[in-house]
Amino acid sequence: MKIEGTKHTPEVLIDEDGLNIEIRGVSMPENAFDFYVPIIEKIEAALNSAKSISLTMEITYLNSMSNKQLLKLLKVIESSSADKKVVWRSKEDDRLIKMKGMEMKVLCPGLDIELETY
Amino acid sequence: MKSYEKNTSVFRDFIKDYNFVLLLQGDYKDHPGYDIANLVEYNLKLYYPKGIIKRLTYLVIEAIQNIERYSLHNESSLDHAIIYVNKCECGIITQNTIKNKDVGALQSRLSKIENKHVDELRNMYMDALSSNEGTEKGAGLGLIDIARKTQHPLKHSFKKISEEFSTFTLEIKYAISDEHECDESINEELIHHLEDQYAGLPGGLLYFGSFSNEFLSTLLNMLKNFNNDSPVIEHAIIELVQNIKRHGHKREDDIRGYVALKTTGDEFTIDTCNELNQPRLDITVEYIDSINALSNDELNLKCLEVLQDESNPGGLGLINVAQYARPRNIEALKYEDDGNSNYIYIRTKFDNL
Repeated sequence: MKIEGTKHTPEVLIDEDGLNIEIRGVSMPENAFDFYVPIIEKIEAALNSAKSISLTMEITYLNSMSNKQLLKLLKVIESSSADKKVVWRSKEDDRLIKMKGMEMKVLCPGLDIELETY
Repeated sequence: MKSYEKNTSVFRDFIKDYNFVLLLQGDYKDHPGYDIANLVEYNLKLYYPKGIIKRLTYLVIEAIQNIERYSLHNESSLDHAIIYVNKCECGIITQNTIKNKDVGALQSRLSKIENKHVDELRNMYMDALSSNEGTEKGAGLGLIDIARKTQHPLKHSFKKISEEFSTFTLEIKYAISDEHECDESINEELIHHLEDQYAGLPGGLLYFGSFSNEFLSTLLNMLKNFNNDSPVIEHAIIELVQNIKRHGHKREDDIRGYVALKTTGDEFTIDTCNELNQPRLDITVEYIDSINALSNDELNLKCLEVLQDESNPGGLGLINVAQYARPRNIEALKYEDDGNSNYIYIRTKFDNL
């Protein structure tokens, strides 16, 4: 499954074979709920049978509503029994996105979120 | 009364007299012409037929590209464009720096097109189009074509600012409707107010118009003409602008608001103003006061608490803005005009970016 990125929403790639997920780009939709809920539901369903999951997030703008939805996604992954790999990538000089990653790490202690910079 | 109370009255004047107001001051190096035209188009399609919008966006692009092409880009505080649309006309005022030695040639080109009939302008345009002569950076067609399309005399002025440089100001007007009498004194007041507010600043932007549709990416693009890629500023703008769209009072099926950005180089200010219904107005001001009362640690804890609160999909925006602005506080001011119109004015300042 691929959702193309727009001016306000990120590109989302879900490879269900092995459950590799990538979310990249701007995330500032007016209604983050409408954008993320179908994605979260799809991943939640796939997790029922997946043995492992890998999620990479590389967000350049993150509005507060998207922030909440991404946390919800991470909580879904955290509660699954699959092997998990989660990477939060931020630009070297973007301390805000870095800070958001650190907040996610604190709130999801069951996920060993790797914080990477590029 | 806080010192910026007068800005709520400016907003109330905007609501009363204008459909759209935009100012962009900066280095004009990121080619903002199309972004500005997008904003004009997006606002005007709420009020006017396609034909008028097409003509206006063309004029806007031509006028802005004149700054992009011909400015010396040496003093960003002296390069700006102001665009307003009211019930009777659209005004486009551009200013840029030029070399004193080029003033004569430009004056001469402007004199040739002043007070010319539209047929004469068409002939001049065709001649210029087929001529091999032209200015260094363009075909010299822009000004002739602007004069042709406005059907209104262009006004211009030069002001010497040093032994080497002058500013060149061009005023373009386009009549939208003859049903309404234009009150020129109101427009002059607007222009003076905006020029006064932004005088000497290396960059800034003021947008008054519709917040009903998504225009954030356009706004963020325009920011590149004066903001040095500060993620803090960009994230704060996203939250504050989306707050207006989410909570602003809808009048005649549209939410209108105002966002004003100013940089001094060391300090960046974001002002927003919009109509807000009661009791949300009181609740929001009290909420901002309560956020301001928190220590940094308490604010960070509050952020984590709200982030985990699944019962409310929002609630985090102003907390994030407060985190970004620390050690400064968010200032909020409410203005209750009468029983029907209430306004909230929010000012956020950022240091050392």
